[in-house]
Amino acid sequence: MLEVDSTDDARYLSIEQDVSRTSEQLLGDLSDESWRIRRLAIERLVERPDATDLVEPLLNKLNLRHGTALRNAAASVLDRLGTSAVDRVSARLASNKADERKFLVEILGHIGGQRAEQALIAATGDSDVNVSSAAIEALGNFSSPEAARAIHRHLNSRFPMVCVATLEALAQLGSAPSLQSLWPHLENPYTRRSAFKVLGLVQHTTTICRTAQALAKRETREAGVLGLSLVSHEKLLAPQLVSLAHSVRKNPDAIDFVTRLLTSDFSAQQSASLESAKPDSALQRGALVLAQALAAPELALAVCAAAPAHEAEAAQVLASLGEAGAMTLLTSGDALLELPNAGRAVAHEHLIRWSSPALVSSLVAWLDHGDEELVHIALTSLGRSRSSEALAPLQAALGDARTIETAASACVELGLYFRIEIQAALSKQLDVGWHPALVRAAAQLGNIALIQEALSHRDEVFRAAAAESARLISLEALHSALFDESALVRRSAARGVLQLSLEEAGPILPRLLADLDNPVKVIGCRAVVQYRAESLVGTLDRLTKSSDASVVAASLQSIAELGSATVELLLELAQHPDPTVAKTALVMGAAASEIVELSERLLSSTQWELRAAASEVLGLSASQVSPQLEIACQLERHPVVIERLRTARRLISLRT
Amino acid sequence: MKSPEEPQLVMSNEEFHLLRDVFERASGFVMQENLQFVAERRLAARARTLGLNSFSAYHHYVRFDPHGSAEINEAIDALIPHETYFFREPHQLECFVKEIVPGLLALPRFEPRLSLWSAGCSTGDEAYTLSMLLSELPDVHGFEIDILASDLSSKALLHARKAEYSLASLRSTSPERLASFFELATSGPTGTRYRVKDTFRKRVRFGRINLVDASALSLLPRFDVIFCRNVMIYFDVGTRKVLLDRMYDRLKPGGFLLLGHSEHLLSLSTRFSAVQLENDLVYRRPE
Repeated sequence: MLEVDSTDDARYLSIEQDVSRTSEQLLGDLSDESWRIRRLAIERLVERPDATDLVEPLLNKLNLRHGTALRNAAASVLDRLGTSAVDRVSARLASNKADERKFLVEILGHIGGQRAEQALIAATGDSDVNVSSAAIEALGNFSSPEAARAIHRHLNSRFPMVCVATLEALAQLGSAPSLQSLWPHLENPYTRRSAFKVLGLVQHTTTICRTAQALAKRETREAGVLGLSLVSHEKLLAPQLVSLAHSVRKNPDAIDFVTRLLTSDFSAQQSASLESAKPDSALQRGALVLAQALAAPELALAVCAAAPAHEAEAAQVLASLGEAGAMTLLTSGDALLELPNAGRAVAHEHLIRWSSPALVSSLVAWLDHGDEELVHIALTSLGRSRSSEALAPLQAALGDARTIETAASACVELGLYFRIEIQAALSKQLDVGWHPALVRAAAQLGNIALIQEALSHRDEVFRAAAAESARLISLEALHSALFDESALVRRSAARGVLQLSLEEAGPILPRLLADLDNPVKVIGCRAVVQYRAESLVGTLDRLTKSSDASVVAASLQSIAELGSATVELLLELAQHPDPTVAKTALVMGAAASEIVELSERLLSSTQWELRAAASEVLGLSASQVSPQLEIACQLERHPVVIERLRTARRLISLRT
Repeated sequence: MKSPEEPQLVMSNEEFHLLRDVFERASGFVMQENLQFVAERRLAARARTLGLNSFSAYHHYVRFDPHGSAEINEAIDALIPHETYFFREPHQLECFVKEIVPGLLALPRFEPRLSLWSAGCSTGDEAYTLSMLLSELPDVHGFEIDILASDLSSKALLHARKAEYSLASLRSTSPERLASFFELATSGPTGTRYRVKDTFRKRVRFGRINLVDASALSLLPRFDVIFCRNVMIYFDVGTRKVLLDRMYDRLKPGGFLLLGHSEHLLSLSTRFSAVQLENDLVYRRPE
């Protein structure tokens, strides 16, 4: 838990409210003992119109004698000032102080861009090993052939530190050296870890064998794991996975070893300290490959712990652990609750996906848990269990106001296997009292009499609950629900239209687009695309003039997906006052030269979302880095847009 | 209630015509020239609710504001009278029960189903009346009865779905029918209200349908009988002709169209056959 000093708090508030604070004062604030105040000063300095005039004073603060906090804060401002600071930062590389040059190199690495790249390439030849290593490592973030060539030149340096920096940069760049030049580094204890990492870039039997060899020995196994960090999961063949598993199992503590690597991120978060060391993401990724190879269900929880950094991979490995992995998660008790959010999400998804009759008793035990989320996961999983033993607990949950919604949805799932029993359970509960979730579930399971009764109910929530299933009675009943005076009912009926055949839906689509309710119109727009109703493009076109932005965005999206968006329409809507509409138009029109031109102009828009969307378009379609893009790179202050601009420039550079 | 210092909103002829055109385009409903004073009074309340101080501003609002369409509905709701009651126009109903329904039942049909449409149902009195009358006919038992009741007014439909009525709506309902078809809903100082019993209520489905909306009408099934009583009086001649054409299309061959007593098809449509029954003159789509 962060502790906030009350005097800090007062000082922070007074600075925050002082809008007339001068540049000099803000520069002074960079050395404040409170990190919050330093952060505030960074934000204020970056936003200042005269920010570029501050480069020199900021560079003067990089000297270590001023203290680490001030130096880091000044560097942060320089990073954020971007390319406007590059030339003056590069000029300071002539300094005779190596530690200062190293710091400048790191700043140039963060800023990026062609001029920074050139300065860094020059700095790789610095007389000081620390500086040249830092320059090489920084170049690893530049996806250009020139940077790659500059890095490769240092692979056979006589300084091990430079070799390590080179290998790390190559790993970062995804650029594999020749096996011949890499092999010696695998034997060298100093370069081994980084060399194995790069080895993973080479998808070849030889490299997997070499990695397996490393995994078999306690002193090299961690390096071996790094060798797996860049290996693509999908490309590994079953025999290769078996070979890896056998190798790592030669160590009696194989499972503990993999668990430790997988949970490093988890442990770091558990310490609840912002300053805690960043976990070794590469090790974790390699450990996930090993977990897949070992196929040990007891690793399930640890695999979930790796999800914050590697969500997709963790989900994939967990899937390979199947029902046994789900059982491990279920029996792990409160440890599941201590997982970070992403880990919990992966675990929950796995439990629902792999639910089976074998898990029912453990799932039922969860229903008494105090944690609401676990109870809902258990209910959803019970619905997917295909077991008759899930009936009774679900029925009990239908009687509880806190769980009725989830239980009713779960009943629909279980009803695919036990329709009569579930219908009976729902009817019994409906006899006690109606609830929209009960009506919806019973309707989805085809309780015709109930749908009929609900559709004529006085209360719109019950009519809405049944409307989506009205087609089960007749097409006429669904039509009728589309005429209901309640928008809630019409929305539900409109969703029901999406389940009709083309012949049935066709005549209804104009009705949806003409509805008074905007959400119904939006569903209608989706339906037009689903049924490929090209004849309604004219109606969609009229909807692009709607006063409701959600309708405009939906109709535009549909027109574009039908391949009927004209450049004129895209251009017009790219200048729509609503940023969502404008963004949709820009992205949908990314292939049109007119939109690319407009995107260049929109880089100076006052709305950051538009600047971000425009950057995205340029990244996708621009043929060269235009002066507007260069200027935007210099002036942009919004972190999201800065990121998009950098990506755009990188993508364009790769193309040209 | 209007506060004393609030100035009276006056509707000029031009404002009346502008608003009349907007409402007509949206719903076909035509404000009668001789009822301008009624429009002035009722729409003044709407304008004040929206904080508008003239009918010109109100016209601008309904035409150009994003919520203009919703306001048009509110306005039409305020302008159209919802006056109706159970078992209204008994001669026509008797004709329906004694002549039309038996005639329809005698027609060859694929399924035992009788479908009716109460177009412009207002608060549902007519639709429920039909449901009740059919329940009294032994020959109809075994038939599936489907009654669609539609109106343009959401408020009227809300009332209709609730199916609770004051004694004023029941002024033509006999004590026997009151006992058979209704149950007591509330009784107290604010008056007595009766609720339509569920058996008769459930056979009626409601919908908000704009009769001039072709795409809406095209989704309706074909009916054996359409009741469109005292509705066309709110439309101009052109709209009436279009509407009658659409009603014709929505009738099964041999199906009947029942209009209000003061309404006729002279100079409006030649597609229907006029049929003089014992109790009434009705219109029929030829078989």
